[in-house]
Amino acid sequence: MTLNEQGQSGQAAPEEREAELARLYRAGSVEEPPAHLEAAILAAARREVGAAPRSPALQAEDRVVSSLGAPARSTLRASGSGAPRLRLGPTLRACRLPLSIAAVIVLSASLVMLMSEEGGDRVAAVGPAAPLADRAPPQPPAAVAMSPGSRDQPGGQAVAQAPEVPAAPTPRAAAPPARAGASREEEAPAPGRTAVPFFGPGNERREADDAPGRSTAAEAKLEAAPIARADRRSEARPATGEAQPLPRSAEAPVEAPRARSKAASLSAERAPPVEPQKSVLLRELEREPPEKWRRRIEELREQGEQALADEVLAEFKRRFPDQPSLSPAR
Amino acid sequence: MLLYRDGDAGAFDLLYRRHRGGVYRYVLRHCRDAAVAEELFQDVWTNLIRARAGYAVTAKFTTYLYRLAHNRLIDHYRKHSRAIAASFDDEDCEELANLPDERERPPDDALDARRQAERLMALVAELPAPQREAFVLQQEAGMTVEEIAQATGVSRETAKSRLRYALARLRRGMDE
Repeated sequence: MTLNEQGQSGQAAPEEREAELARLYRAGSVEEPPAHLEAAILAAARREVGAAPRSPALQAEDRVVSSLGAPARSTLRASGSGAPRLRLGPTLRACRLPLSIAAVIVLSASLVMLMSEEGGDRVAAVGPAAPLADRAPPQPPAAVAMSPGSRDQPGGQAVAQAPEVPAAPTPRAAAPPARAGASREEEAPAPGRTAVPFFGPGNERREADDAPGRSTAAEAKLEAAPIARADRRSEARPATGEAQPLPRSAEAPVEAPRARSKAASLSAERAPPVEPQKSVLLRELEREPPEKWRRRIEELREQGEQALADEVLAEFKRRFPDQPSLSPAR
Repeated sequence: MLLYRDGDAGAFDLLYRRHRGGVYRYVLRHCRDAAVAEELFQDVWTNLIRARAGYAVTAKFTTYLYRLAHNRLIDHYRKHSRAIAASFDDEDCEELANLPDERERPPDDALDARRQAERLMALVAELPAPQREAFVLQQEAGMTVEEIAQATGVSRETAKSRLRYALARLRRGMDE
C-alpha cells in the first residue's frame, strides 16, 4: 500500500504532516460547551452524591488556585497552606458527615410527617362513616343517592356521611379505577436517582419520549395533587351536614370533575400492563451481568413481548451505559 | 471517577473540567448541530453520573467516557432513523492507491494558519462518520489506536484502518 511504502521509505514526512494536521486541528477546534450546561451538570453530580454546592467564594478560590499552574498547586497541596480553600478543606470535610446526617434526619422527619398527614387523610376518607356522624347530622336518603357527578358541584362543602347508610361508598372508595391506577403509578417510579430530572424542559421531553409510562405517571400525579389538596381542605372545614358526601373541591369549576375523571380513565387505560412483569424481571436480573440482560431481552423479543423487552432494554441502558447498546425492538 | 463513586463531588468537577471540551467537540463533530450536540453532551454526563454507583475500572476513564458518548450517539442516530449504519461500513480501500504522495507537495505557506485550520475543520466534517470518529478521538482525547478500538467497539485493525484513511484523506484535502 502507498502509506506503507511511504512509511518505509520516508518516515519523517508523514509524521510531520500528521503533527501539522494535529496542530491545525487544535487551532480550529475551539468550541466549548455553554456555561449553563456546566452548571446543570455539576449540580446534578453534586445532587447525586448528596454534596452541597460550592459557595461562590470557594469557586473563586478554586479559580485562583487553578490559575497558579500545576507546580504551584502541587506545592500547595503538599504543604497544606496557601490558598484559603486548602486550609478550609479539612474543616469542611470534617463537617460534611455531621451535616449530611443532620440533613438526612430533617428530610426523613419531614417525609414521615408528610406521609402521616396524607395517610391520615386517606384513613379519614376511606374509613367507616361512624366517626363522621358525630360531627354531622343524619343525612336524608336523597343525599346518599346523589350522583357522583353532582358531588363535585361548586359550592359543595363539608364532608358528611349518613350513619343510616354505612354501605354507601365514599367518593374515595367509589372513585374510578383510574384513581387506583394513579396511585399505583405514583409508587412506580423506581429508584430515586432515575426519578429526578435535573435538566430543563428538553430533557423532560426526552424522558417522556423514552418512557411513555412516565408521562402517564406524571399525568396521574398532576391529577392526584389537586385532589389530595382539596381533600385536605374539605377535611379542615367543619361539617355542615349538607347533602354532598366528601366533595373533592369546593372551588373546582363544574367542568373539572368531568375532565378529571376523563383524564383519570385515560391514564388508567394508558397504564402499562407490563409493570408487574417488568419489576419481577428486574428483580431477577438485579445482580446479573450485562450478557444475561442481553439474553433475556432477546428471549423476550422472541416471545413477542416487545413492550416488556423495550422496558428492560431501557433499564439495561441506564444501568450499563458503557455497554454496546442493543437495537430497539422493531 | 473512583473518588466520585465514593462520594467526592470535587473529583467530578475535575473530571468534567478535564473532558468537557473534548466530549463536546466529539459530539459536535458528529451531529454538526450545536443544539443537538448540547443535548447529547448533557446525556453523556447524565449517564456517567447515573452509572456512578456501579462504576468499576475496566479501562482508562477517558475510554470509558468516550464509550458512553459513542453509545449515546448511536442511540441518537437510531432514534432519528439516520442511515448511519451504511456510513459506518468499511471504506473503499482502493482510495489509498490513488492518493498523491504528499512528500512532493509541501504545505502552502501562503495560507495563513487560520485559513488552514478552517480548511481542515471543513475536511473533518466531510469525513465518513467512522473515520471522523477515529480522528476526533485521537485528537480530542489523545487516544491510541487500541483505545479508539475499545471506545468504539471495533477491532484494533478496524480502528487503525479508519484512522489511517482519515489521515490520508485529510492530508490529501489539505494538499489540494
